[in-house]
Amino acid sequence: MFEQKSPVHALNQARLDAIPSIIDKVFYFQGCTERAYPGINAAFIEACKIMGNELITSDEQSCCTGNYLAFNTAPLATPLAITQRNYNVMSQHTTNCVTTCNGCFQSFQNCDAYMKKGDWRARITDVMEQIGREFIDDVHVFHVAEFFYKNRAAIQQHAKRSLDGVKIAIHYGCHFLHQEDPAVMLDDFENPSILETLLGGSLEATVVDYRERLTCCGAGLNQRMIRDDRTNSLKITLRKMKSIKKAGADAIVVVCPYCLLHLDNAQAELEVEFDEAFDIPVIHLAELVGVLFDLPAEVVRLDAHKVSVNSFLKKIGYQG
Amino acid sequence: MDAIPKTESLIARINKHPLAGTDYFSCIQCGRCVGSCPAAAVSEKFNMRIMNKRIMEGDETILSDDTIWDCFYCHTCVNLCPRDNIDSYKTILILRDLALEKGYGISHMKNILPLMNSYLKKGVLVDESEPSWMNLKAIEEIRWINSITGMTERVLALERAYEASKSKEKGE
Repeated sequence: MFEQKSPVHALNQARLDAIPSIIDKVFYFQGCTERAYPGINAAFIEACKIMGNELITSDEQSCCTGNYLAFNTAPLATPLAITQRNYNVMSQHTTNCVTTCNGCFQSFQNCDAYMKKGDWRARITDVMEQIGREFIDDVHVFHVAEFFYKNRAAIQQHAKRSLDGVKIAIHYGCHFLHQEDPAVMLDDFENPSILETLLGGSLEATVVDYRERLTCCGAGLNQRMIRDDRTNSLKITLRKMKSIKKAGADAIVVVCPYCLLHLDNAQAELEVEFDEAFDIPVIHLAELVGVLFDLPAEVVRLDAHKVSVNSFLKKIGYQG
Repeated sequence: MDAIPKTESLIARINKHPLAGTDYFSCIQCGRCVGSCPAAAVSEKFNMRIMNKRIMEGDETILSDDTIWDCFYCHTCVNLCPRDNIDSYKTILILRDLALEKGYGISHMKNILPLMNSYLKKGVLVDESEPSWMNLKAIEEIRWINSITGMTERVLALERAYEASKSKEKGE
């Protein structure tokens, strides 16, 4: 069981200071994977509205692209240029951006790091000129986990219910914890604590510690797609899920729609392949805050989940 | 003028990649990368320490070794490595690029190419909505960027290679 001890490490103060506060103007960079769970998007927007923040969105943004590099389908110039274009779109509204996806988050941070090397800045400036846009370097992308952590007092203030008595297993996901540039890492990648503080501290959940807390969900960026039999991918998920089950978790909270997609879908696959049943609901932090704010069921859309979330909702008394 | 070597060494080709930067000879073979590795936990052969060693030794067979496709891209080994000039995440990415250039591993593109096609057409990877949630001007811009930065060409080449490998398989 997770105990709120004095932190074994300090958070990255410069990063913490840079995270927008709830009263700041924030652009919401929408990811493609979260379209499979529309409640992530809607609950994030509505929950922020309740906290007094009208998030800005735009249909001019595109996919984040950074991970195409790891798909081996793009030369480096493409994701760098697409990232720059998205920065340009966001810069027309504000300099602060929040994303609800680890993939989007890491791809912005990685492209920032790659852009600093060689003559990439000049080359991408040239590409931007060809589409009639300027090179932008003062827009910064933050993760919803960072944003909600910094603004946890506002979340606590507006929450209609608490997580008291509910056992939560937290899954951060690799592409939130690990960045190319350590300066943009808020937390300690070997022992992160911001979500434990947010959920266990502010929202009174019982956060369970489990052996495979930092292990990949199993999706492995594109490992799930590379091999048709998915054996390696599922073996990692099996390890993770066994460890979560052993810890007695009522639900798994994730901060990435892709981890959600995998952990939510893989449970049925694990039952077929390894004859292990889990039935542990997986919920994204934005959906969770939506539920705690008592947003209607049509907004949080937990019906999109493969593993039923009802047992968890019943525990916290949410009726939709 | 010196005679041009028949083939460039593996390390030389790796170092030409835009994401190169690892100094393979600074690897102290401690194995910290392996201890934390999800791929090593489930794949019998995937071992980043050995892979760095094979690169140091100029072992060309690493490109045709299907094990390079086992990495989960979790990035953990990069941050745990005690050396600051070794990035195995990028090493794997580069090895896969070089492998594809040689025609190895093309079968792994099967599930990836349809996503890339969606991206080339609609500007997003996953989108079941019709029309796309992106506005048309934005999609035009994305298509233009994909074209001038070389992604369109690359995806089409991979598609051709994939189709060719499939018909070869059928013919045999």
